[in-house]
Amino acid sequence: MADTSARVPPATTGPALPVVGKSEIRPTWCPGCGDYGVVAGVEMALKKLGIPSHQVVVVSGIGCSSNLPHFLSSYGFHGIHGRAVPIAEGIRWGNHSLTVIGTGGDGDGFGIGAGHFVHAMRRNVDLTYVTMDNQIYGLTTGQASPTSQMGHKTKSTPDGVIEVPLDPVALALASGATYIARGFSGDVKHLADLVANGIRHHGFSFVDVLSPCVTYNKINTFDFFRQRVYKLENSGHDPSDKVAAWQRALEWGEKIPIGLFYRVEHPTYEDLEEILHAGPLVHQRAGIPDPAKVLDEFV
Amino acid sequence: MPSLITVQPNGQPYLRYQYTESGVSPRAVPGQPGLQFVAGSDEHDERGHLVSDIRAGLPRWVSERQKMMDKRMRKLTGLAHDVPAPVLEGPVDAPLTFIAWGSTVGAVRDAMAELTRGGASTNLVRFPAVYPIAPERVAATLGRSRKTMLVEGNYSGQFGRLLRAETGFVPTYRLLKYDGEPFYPHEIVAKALEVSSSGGH
Repeated sequence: MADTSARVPPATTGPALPVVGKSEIRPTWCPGCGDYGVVAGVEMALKKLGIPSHQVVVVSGIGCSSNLPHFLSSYGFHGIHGRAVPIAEGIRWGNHSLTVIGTGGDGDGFGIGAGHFVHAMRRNVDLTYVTMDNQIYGLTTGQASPTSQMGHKTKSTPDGVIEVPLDPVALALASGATYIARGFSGDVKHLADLVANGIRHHGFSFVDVLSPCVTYNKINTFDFFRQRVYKLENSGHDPSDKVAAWQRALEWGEKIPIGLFYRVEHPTYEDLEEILHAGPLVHQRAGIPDPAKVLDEFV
Repeated sequence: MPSLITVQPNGQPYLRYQYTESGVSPRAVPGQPGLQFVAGSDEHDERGHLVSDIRAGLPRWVSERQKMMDKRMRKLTGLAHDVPAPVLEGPVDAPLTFIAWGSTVGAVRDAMAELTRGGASTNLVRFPAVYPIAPERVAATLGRSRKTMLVEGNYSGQFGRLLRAETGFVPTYRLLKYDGEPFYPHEIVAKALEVSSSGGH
């Protein structure tokens, strides 16, 4: 039962509250890092949507890119390695009136957090997950990541990578994500649109961002991507066609598609979880009427 | 139910990890206007900003890190008195006191009933919470015991070791079981009779 003595004030009426901007500290990324474009794109998307900063929670795991929440004026949760997505899911279930954005890198999301990533998409939790995919572990100074290409010589693979790289877009298609896009941090406005539409989308939105590491990845550079990326929306792609989305997802070479691969409307986890029908959990009374009695029984 | 919210906006920048005497800082909850903060996983300042990266090694932030650790650890002092205290069950002046925690407690209670039927008086100090430990709470219960027997379902007597590390207390006897099976009351009864017949009391 919903409790009328809400613990968190619901959205207030009155003068407009500030939207998300920069925080009081500056990023510590290397000069030229792709992640500057991503934080700019996320900020631009949130400004465009006009969501007040107190209603936004930006979550991350561990890695260079996972410092991102510190650089925005919203609520933030800088979690542990690979756990951006489950934290983001938990925040949504605690208060599904909040806008929740997961952030992190390819190592964090597709290596350490791969299991969480797959199952969050399958659940279609209504959040937006933005990965800064630089195909390297940058914070630890350059080891092969799950998306490093075969043959890439890194500190952990001095003779070159001998494992097939994971394809995040194809994995998202296979896992049931309902909004799947790829952005490029060299095109911030395009990225901001992808993120904004992902936030608007009702369901799990995944935006994989090609975000070059200028210090430790000398293969997948800004130039590498500038020569290869093309926009799906300019090439007649129909994002409601899942077979076509698969065909585009498999393109990785001389041409690399960016933009929206796939979008479908499907009920979210929050829609189907009856407990949440009475309103955000944070406004509901906790379900144990006499906790002291329960504690006595078990301890 | 206590409110999750312990802070309201006052126009000042909100310090999620404010230094306090108890170590517990006023808490805001996402969704509250004007109190946005970042919960940082690495060491951070009162605001939540990380102390690592460009701040690492700078004298001001080195001392900030130490202050934050001190604040964090002060919470344990308060917590040691907030968690349920050890409980004495049975006659206060029994010659043998069992020490147990968790599901072992049930087997000990059954054993105590059987021992009572046989004319042997025992009591029990059970620990509903194993950590943090307030030494004065332990003294208030175990301080009056005569002979004591730790009953624990692991090889090394882990809780007994913790109790010794935190308070200096050492039980007279230990009954440890580590064959993967739970304690049965008759095993505890047998051990209690064995130590009493060997001249314990």
